[in-house]
Amino acid sequence: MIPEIGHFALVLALVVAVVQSIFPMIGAATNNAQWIAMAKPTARAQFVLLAVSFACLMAAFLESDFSVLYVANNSNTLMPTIYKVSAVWGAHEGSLLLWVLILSVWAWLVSVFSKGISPVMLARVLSVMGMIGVGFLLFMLLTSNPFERQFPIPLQGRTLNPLLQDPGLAIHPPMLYMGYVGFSVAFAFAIAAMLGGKLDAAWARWARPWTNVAWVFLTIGIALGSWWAYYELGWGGWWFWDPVENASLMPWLVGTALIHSLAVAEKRAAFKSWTILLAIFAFSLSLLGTFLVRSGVLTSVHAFASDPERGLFILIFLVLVVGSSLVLYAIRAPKLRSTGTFTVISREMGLLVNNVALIAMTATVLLGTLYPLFIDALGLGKISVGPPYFNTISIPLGLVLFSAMGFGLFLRWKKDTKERVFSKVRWVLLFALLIGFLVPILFMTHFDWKAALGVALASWVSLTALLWVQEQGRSPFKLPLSMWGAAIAHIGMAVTVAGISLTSAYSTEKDVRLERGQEYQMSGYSFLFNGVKEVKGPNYIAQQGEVVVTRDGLNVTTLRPEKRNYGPGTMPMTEAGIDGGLLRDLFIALGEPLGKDAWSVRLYHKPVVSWIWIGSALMGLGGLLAAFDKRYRRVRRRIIEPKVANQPEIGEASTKAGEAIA
Amino acid sequence: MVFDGDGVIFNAIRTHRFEDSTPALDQKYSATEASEKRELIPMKARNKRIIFILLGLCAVGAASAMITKAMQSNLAYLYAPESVMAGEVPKDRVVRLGGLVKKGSLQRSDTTLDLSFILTDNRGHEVTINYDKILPDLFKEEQSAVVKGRFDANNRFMAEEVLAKHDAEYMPPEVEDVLAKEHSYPGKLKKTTEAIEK
Repeated sequence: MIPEIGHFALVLALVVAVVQSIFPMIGAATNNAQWIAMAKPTARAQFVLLAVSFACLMAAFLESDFSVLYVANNSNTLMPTIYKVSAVWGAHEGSLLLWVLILSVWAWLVSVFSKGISPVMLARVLSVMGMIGVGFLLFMLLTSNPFERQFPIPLQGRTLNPLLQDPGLAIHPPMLYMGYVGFSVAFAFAIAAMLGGKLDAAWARWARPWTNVAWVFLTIGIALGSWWAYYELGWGGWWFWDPVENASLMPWLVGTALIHSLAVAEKRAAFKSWTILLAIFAFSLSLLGTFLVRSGVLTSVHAFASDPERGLFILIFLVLVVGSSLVLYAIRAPKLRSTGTFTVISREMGLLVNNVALIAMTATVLLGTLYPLFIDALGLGKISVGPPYFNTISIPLGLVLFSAMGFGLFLRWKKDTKERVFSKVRWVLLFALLIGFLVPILFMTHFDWKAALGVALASWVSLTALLWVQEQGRSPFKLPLSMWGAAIAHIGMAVTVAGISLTSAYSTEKDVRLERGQEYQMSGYSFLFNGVKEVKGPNYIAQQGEVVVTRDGLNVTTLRPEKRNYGPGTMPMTEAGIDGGLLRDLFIALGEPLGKDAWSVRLYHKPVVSWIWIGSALMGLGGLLAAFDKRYRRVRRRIIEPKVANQPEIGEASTKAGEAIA
Repeated sequence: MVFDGDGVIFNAIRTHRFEDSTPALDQKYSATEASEKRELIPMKARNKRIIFILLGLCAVGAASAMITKAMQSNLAYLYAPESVMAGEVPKDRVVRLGGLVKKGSLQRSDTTLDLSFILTDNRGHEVTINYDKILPDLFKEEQSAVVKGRFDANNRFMAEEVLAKHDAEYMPPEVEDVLAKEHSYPGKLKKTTEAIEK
């Protein structure tokens, strides 16, 4: 019964989504107030229906209702409750349901926090989000219904892919989806602005906090994924340039560019059509990511068994969304004239450099990700693009980007002089270069110029951010949140860059054969292997090794890496033993038994690897602070008061629409 | 996509920088620079646009050259054991080989991690792989695997990386394709397949 309610709610949600996408849009074009007013209730109804549907699927998982095919394939009675819950989005059908649920959450949030937005604009925004919902709901109902029943009913289900039975992974997909789908808000705002033919500072002020929050979720989602890959996959790496990782990085890069170009659109009324284009690309790349993961065209950790029909559906949907929004852009973008002007040395130029560098990075990653697919589709062979490709291109681009980050904060809008900016930052520049050279010489085993460069850039970016906050000449507690946000996000980026460059240059990684009682020396640490014993977990059996780590005769820690087996039909899992710290991680993973009490063991010493994720957390915090700046709320209040102000806008929009039709 | 983006950006530069700020530039720049600028000022909007398009093309060209170079040295083609035996695999660069791990072929050293195994396509084509690191969790005999590495001077394949399938029920589509008996692999490989079948 419960699965049927869920299924029924899903069908109803589709119907509501159709209404939500058609009527408010037509209403906005014909100035029909009643139809315009349908946007809010339909968006909220859709959220309620999808929440019901999602709750039904979750109930089926908690009750272990194996008559539902999807439940039987991804859950069993032995799994701990938290993984029964996370199994809801552990595979294709459920993760799609999560996708549309999150879409409706965003639409609901827009409908609630929309007080300053004109009803016409709101109608268009929610209608566009409704259209996206229609696409995904149709996709689910036609090709991947999570509520499909099966007969006969099995007594026990299969198990969730053990890789996903991990707390990090339980929250990684929802975070990532909040980010991916969050860009649909910016996208819908962009489409609405084009339809209305008007993109002003108020528009940018509405779009900015939404974009920021989506970006924060995406940042955290990517960081969680990378962290999980580090401790769960047992390879000790944190980024593999895996196509699916790239698929999440591309919207992040474009989203970062969008956040910065929105600032220009708000403050200086420039970059308008460019901003619209970025909003379209950010969401299109999120859809592309969904397509790449779900269609199974990629060989990747994330590519679950798949079905070509699904891939085709998403591909058609992707082409429709990108195609129609670009056509609209071609027709309407010339109307969005940028009026702000600027000179070569100005903050606008700094942000332009930021945008160009980020877009160039995105293009590089896109090419490296899709090129093998094209070559394969053309029948020219099967290739893979190695990490060195991505590294060779991103390092010079990163250099440009991070240099600009420091100067950018000090540049004035519209017009500035080299001398003024340089006089402010010259000591910081010198100091940053000094730190870059001294850190590898003083604290590391040898000098590595890439690490020196990375540290210098990181110090440059973080010191300029600090100096900038101090320069404002106000008490730090009275500064607007958006300033704190910018400074903290820049410092976060710097921390991540420092972590990346130092850990890439100075990590020691050894695969060794160790017998019980054998000791191995590496990076000043001594690892004593005490053999392996069997341990029982709730739904797995593990081989648990014991390694005592000492340094200069002093006990450091005892690590217990595991090799887990989740029963027949699943793959063994490597659970690494990690001694984490601010300055270094010790990472030990068990390989396989080699006979005679010997095991292959992977020993890593990774300096400051944790900075990569600490930096990401700081970036997330910065983005969040900026999104909750008082400025955005104050504007809303100011606009509500003169209620009449909304009326002419409806008239104006409709005359514009009338002109367009004429 | 890149082109669209560049177009917009250059548009932005064109309208903002030149139409509105040329007087400022005249005052700021030294005499020689100013003379250059003076040539630019009377230029028609169309000419400016052409210059920016040319600049844009140069930038795109440079970027493509850089990318192509980075690509060339970092692409790894996937070959089947069959093409190894036919001598079609280049010896001087990193390649990938895909196939099934032959039953009973995994051999380990008693003292180090050195090991070797045979990749086969179950049609009699075999190639021996040498490796000295930890094998992935899913590496099993009679299962598919992809190895990345190169042939050394003695024609032994030294793997740098071994990848096994990621899921207990799942075979990487590319390995499946390479192993498929009637694969639509074009070019040399197809010819040799036909030759062998004849």
